[in-house]
Amino acid sequence: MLKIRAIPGKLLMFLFRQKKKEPPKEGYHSQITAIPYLLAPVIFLALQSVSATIGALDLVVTDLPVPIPIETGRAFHLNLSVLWPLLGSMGASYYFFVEEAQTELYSMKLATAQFWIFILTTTGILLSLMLGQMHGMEYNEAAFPFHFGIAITLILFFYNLLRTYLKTRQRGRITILSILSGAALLLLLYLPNLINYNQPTISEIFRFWVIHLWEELSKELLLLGALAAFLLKTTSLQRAKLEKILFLQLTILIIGAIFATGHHYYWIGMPTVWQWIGGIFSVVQFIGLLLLLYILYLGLAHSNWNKLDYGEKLTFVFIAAGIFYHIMGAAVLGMVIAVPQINRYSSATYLTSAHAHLAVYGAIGMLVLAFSVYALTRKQDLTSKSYFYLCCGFGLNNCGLLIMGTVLTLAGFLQTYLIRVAGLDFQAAQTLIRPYLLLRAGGGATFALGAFLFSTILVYHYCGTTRKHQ
Amino acid sequence: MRKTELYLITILLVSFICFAVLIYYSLMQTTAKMPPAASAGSEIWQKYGCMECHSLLSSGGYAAVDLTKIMSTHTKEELLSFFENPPPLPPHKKRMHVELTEKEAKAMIAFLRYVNNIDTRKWPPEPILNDKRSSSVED
Repeated sequence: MLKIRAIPGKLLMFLFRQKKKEPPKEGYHSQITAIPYLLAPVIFLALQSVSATIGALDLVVTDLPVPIPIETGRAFHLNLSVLWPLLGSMGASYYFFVEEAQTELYSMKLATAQFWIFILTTTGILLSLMLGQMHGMEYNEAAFPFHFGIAITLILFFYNLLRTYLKTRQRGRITILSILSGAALLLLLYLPNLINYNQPTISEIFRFWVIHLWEELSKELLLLGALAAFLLKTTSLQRAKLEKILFLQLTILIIGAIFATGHHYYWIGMPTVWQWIGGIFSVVQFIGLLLLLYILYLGLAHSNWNKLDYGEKLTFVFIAAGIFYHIMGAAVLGMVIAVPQINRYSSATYLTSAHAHLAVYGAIGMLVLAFSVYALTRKQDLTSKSYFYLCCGFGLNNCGLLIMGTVLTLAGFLQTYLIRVAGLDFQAAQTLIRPYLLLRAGGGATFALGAFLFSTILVYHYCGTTRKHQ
Repeated sequence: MRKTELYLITILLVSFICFAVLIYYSLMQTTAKMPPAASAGSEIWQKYGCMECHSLLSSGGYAAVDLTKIMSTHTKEELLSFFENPPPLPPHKKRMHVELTEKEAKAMIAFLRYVNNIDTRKWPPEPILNDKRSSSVED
């Protein structure tokens, strides 16, 4: 019988078991264009986590000398939280699209140009926000010309994938179709947001085409395609079996996500029918996430852990974390806020903040980082030391995220009770939840430490392997 | 065209068209025309990043009071006085709330009045145990 004392040791042995030496796996030449797309998010994450921690402290520490006002600092944080997962999702798409299409990318030059336009636009957005130039709605506060920069990158992305799709012999594969639909939707959903709307209801309607539908549909489609391609490459899971589940998953994902946008339309001046549409389809989305969990289970059941290299193991760890946050953060916490027939009191409280942290970073960000780890360790696998430090970074980062998620959830419940049940004055309630916000800043610092460790080791590893191969 | 391509395009198009039609009919029923002063106020709302701390129509920041129905609980004079002589931003003692010019303040009030008239389906909800609304601009 397995002794309880021996479990941690066995778990460590399981994680650090000597891998079977194998030569680096061959790939497609154009996959190299995806590397900057997957490297930059790691750096942006480190930058974002530091700025967000300072912002979290500014909310609770009296007259903290911060050079950037809280409103522009928050806008900086929110924009980064949308932009780097977008960049990483595009990178993961390029990387796995060619793998699944079994052909080179239509144009590597176009992909590289797209990357630099995106980086320039993002840098412009961040600098302009730091200078206090805000012109749009929450999450989309950048000045008008920057929206065009993003639109151009989305056009190039879709065009490049479409031309690659048209030349492949693997047309009809659900993995590449998922990525292609994600790319098309990224562009189509963004177009109405090129215009700034002053009418608040209309502004909110289109804003959520990016905030909700980008996150819960477009990026999900890109990452689902990449996830399926990764599982087909690294496990013995049969394509036919996976494709059947993917069909069901895509159907639920598309219908669920589109109509669940309704859960953002409850209180913006739309008819009551949206409370039913949003509530019902939020539940449909939950079923889709359970299927995602089943896909991960199938992947793990068909993989041989001992034959995986360190990079692949870590990719699996990140994917598992991403799916955990999909269920706990996006689905469970989301349902607490999004089903008004059960609870109509918690919108716009710290519960929404907890949900946003766990759903945007936990669910989408983790999957992007998983593919960053995978792509950046293909040229040369991690050493056991780098693997150990990356695991530590991952652990710290997740501890920080869980601390933030937990205390923000508690603060949100407290805020709901104090303001919306007991009728306490807003500021009096804010004073009572201040200790939770201080703990959130602690969680943020832990998160940032983990992200920094993780980013530094991964970038150092990739730069080291690049020098070695030159 | 392959079956998978056709299936995916159909699902996407049908779902999205139904969604767009629903939005269109909803807007037909609900959206009131926006006066130019309110429109100018909306631009000021965006320019100063008010949504980073305050929430409006259930979206925005969590650090300050919800302003959706602020015009139901406060008079124009109270808000004008607030914008022209802003208090410190809690928890800070030295850092002040943004100050607006008289023209900006009037436009902002027009915007908040417009938002106040939107039928938000009883949002923000009345406190269950106490009918007293829980917002105060002075805070």
